[in-house]
Amino acid sequence: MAKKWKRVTGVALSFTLLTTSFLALTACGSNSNAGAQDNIIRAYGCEPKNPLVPGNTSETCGGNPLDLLFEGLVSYDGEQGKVVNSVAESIKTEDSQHFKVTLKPGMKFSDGTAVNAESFVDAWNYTANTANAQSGQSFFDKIEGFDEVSKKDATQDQKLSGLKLVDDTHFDITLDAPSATFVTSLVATAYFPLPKAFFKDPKTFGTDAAHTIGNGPYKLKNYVHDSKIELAVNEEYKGADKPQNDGIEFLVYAGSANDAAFADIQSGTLDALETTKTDNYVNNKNDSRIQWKVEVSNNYASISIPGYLKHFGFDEEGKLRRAAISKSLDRKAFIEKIAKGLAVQPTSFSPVSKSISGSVDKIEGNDVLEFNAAEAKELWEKANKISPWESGETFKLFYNGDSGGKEAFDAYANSIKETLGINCVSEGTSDFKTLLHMMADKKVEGAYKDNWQLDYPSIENILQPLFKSNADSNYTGYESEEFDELLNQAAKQVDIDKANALFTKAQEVLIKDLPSIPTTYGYNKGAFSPKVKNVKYNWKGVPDYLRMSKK
Amino acid sequence: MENKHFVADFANNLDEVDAVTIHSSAKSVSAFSKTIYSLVHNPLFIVSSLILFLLLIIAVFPGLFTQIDPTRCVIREASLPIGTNGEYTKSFHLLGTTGLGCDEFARIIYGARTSLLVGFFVMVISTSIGCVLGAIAGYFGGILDSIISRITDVFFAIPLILGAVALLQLLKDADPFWKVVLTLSIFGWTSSARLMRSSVMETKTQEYVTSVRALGMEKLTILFKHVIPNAISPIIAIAMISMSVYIVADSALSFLGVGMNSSVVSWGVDIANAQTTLQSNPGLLLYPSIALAITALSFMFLGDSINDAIDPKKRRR
Amino acid sequence: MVKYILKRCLQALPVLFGATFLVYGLVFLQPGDPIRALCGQHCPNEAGLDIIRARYNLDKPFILQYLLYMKNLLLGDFGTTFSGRSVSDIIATSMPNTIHLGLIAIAFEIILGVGIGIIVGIRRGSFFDSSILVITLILISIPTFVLGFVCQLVFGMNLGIVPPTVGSSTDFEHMYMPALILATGSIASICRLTRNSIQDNSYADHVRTSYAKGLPRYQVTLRHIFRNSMIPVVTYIGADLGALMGGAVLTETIFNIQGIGNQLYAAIQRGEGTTVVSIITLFVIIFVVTNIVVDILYAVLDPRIRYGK
Repeated sequence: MAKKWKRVTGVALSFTLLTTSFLALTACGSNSNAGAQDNIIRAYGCEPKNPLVPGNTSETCGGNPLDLLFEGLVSYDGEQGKVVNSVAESIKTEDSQHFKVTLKPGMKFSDGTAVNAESFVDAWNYTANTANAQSGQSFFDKIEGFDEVSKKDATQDQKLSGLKLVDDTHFDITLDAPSATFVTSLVATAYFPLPKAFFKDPKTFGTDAAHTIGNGPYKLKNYVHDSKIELAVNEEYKGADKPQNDGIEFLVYAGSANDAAFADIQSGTLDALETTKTDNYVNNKNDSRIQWKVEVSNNYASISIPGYLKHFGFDEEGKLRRAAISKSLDRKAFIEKIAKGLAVQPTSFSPVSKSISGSVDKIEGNDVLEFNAAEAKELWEKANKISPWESGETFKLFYNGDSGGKEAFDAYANSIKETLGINCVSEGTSDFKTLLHMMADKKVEGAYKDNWQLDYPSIENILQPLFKSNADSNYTGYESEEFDELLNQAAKQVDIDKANALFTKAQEVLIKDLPSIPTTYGYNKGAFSPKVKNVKYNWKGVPDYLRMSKK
Repeated sequence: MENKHFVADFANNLDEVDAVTIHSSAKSVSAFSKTIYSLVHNPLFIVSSLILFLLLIIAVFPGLFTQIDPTRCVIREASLPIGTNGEYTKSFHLLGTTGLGCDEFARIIYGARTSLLVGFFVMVISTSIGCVLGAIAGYFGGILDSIISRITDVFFAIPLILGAVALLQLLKDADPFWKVVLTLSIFGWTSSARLMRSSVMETKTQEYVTSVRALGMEKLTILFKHVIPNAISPIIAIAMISMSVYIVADSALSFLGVGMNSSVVSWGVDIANAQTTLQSNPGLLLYPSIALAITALSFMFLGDSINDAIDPKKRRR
Repeated sequence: MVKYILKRCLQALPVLFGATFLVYGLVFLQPGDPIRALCGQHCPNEAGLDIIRARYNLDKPFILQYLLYMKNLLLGDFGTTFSGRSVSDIIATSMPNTIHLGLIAIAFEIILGVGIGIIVGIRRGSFFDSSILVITLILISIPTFVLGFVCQLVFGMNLGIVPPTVGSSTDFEHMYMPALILATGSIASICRLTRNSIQDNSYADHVRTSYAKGLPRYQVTLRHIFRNSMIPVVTYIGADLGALMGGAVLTETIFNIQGIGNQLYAAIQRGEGTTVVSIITLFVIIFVVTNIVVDILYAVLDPRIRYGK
């Protein structure tokens, strides 16, 4: 018995020793981030869905680092509200269809190789080609020859006929049809150049620091998946956007760990968090540990009602009902009570901002975007005379449950229910994937959340993809000859102001039909460390990390 | 879910302790009356039964406790503090309103029904599956036992929450209430199956079972007439306790965004929704959490006291 | 003994296939196209999407997909995620964090759960005993995430006495609060288990005999009561190890720990069969191994149990 007892104590003892030594070990572990004052900006980040390749990135987790690691032909100056040249010396056109691009000489990638016309032409040809299955493919659909390279059986060596290499610093672009906003659209990530190294081994490019070579103001210093993306100043960079700090460190947060990131801002381990929950802002407005930066974001936010929905066809009844729904949204109360003042009443199909060329605060007929219970009911009753809304019918609002739209959509549903006296519920899909699939297959049995983040700073980027007949993201099935014609007219203009005037006219057509109802335009509620100076947002609503400094 | 294993703990407890100590609970005629005696003299049992009775009344007749419709939410009256009169709806908000302007008190009253029903249905379904499979495995042994035990292991090896997330994604179009019930049942039956298996294995070696077998009674009849009724008592206690586990698990699924949606008035949904206003209105998290905790606690007390009462070794000495 | 372990490992094979098949099926049947979701606002055209689908075998029927995957798995290739990362790389980076969290949690369970359990077990019926009983039950009935959020808010953000999140600094200082919250339910359960078990054993016949033999009280407590009482506790802790891995998803989300639970949760949402099944396979292996270890511990704790005769 005594012998066995010893064995037990042995086991128990070793077990306790193991755990205590383990605890001791971990207790003396490295104490990271011990706060010596450096000039490195620690920013909120998330794990990119794809390797860091500009043509294959269409989300912000990878997009934010990429915008700092690469530089395109042009960039957008949000303060002045205009396009400025970056790698391009000049882009000349006489008809908005043929463009002559001249590059600045002597620009280099971070591995020392030259940024020349080939870097652009090869990169664009690669992204546009179906065989490479890049998510940025559709950005090139205006360029001549796109139909060929995007065919199902396109081979890798096929090239866009609209791109012509002249010499090291010159290339020509020909479009299928004129596009007044083409130069503006070149700010998008998909148009960035790619180095020779990429074409040698496209598979490993962008997966770690050694295989990520850009031409931007920063270079990738260290990429630890699910943990951090470290950027250091790129010495080879000769452009105008000189970093004001010694580096940027994107700390990766899992899922929607926004609360965790906010807690880190308060404790000082994080310097920049691009957006926070309303509740965090309201309760910590005067917290001295936080520098707040709130301003209207540039995203379009709406409830889209597809035309295939019963009662909501693009006819007289649908028109009446859409207007009734819009007028039954108590946007003012929503802004005051739920958004706590951090949202604005929409006046057109985009937020009004210098960062959106062509955005206007007044279009004819925008009173339909104001809450009016009496008129809403009247319109609804009128529609009922065309085809009655049965008492058993439910109007459903769908949103993707993974991105915090729940509160707003619950509130909108309640508002419609209260105003029109119909049964209205909101329903979250588990994620964006599910909702998108339903939208694409035209199987949403109700209205749905339709938010749009701009790819380039022009109102055209809202009107064209969402509402033009058969456009990529036109999931409501809206078709209007008048609207399409106005967009085509606008595209032919060389003068941007003339084009914008036509876009405003197009909006006035759109607001009568309301395929998509603007809800309220939200704010960026960025939280920053007080140590950080020069906090601003760029046109995308992303903090301008490059110009931030801790000195 | 740590709570899943609270069930397992009792299972293992009974299972293992009984395996080691010499089992001496001879079944006698007075066992039942002894159990009842032990129960009514246990204050925990009385308190928890009273609370559960009250909850039952609330769940069946919520209209007795509040006149306000919990689904009527008016943005203009969002986030009102405790005890305010709504100017627009003209109703008195005892616990204030939620971030969307629904009456908090009414939501808690009406939410009781959903929570109790989830707990109840999942308990009934999962315990039934568990009992049947566990009894078959334990009684017949052999290849049947091996198959059932491996199936149990398969479900046991998949963590409850993550299995539930995968299944709920699949069932997204189904009725929000039943999909949660179904999911929790599918991933929740394993512990009762394991417990039933060991309980049956123990019961079938008892003298009275061997004697009826010697008398030539049919196998299935013995199983249903003699073995299951005698082996089931520990399961009843665990079933009570597991109800609390399922009620809590339901709220975790809502928190992960895969559980019930806002069309259902439920504590779990409200707790999950309260995350967005945790700082400015912690009450919204607190009230349904308290209601949930009290309910869960009552079921545990109930299960605990039944457990003590049916186990002769633990009766008041 | 070796024979016994081999037998157990063989038994694990159907469990492995069953669990992976079930999970692969759940992920496969999910509505929505994972590849289209991958590209968000922009996508390659349909032909391009088909190329990507073929790359991940998504164009093949379910059974073939599963078998192709299992073939690679058995050859030691865990496959790649839709983002081109190798799954083994994901496991390698996230698993240590979860193990770290789990070990601290289990240490808490042993120290607090067993410790308090023994004290109240010996001093049963006291005021201390009944208050612990109630407290443990209350702790079990509060959802983990509510506790997590409240603790993060109060101790992490408002009082600032613990770091509110973990992130990439996974030392003890950052980990102990999440671990404690993760362990709360188990601590309470273990505490009750230990208490009940000690109580049961103090009335067992062999214990009474020992007293009758005139053994000193402390010797009886240590040698007979304590040792036998640990059997259910060991079982529980063994079973808990696996549960901690999966159950950590809530804790990991709240405290931003880049662990395996989080990865699995995200992979389920992305509909990424390869990652999901790889991680589940890992869970099954952990599950089987802990079960075997627990069985061996039985033999150590209870001389009457012998395997593989």
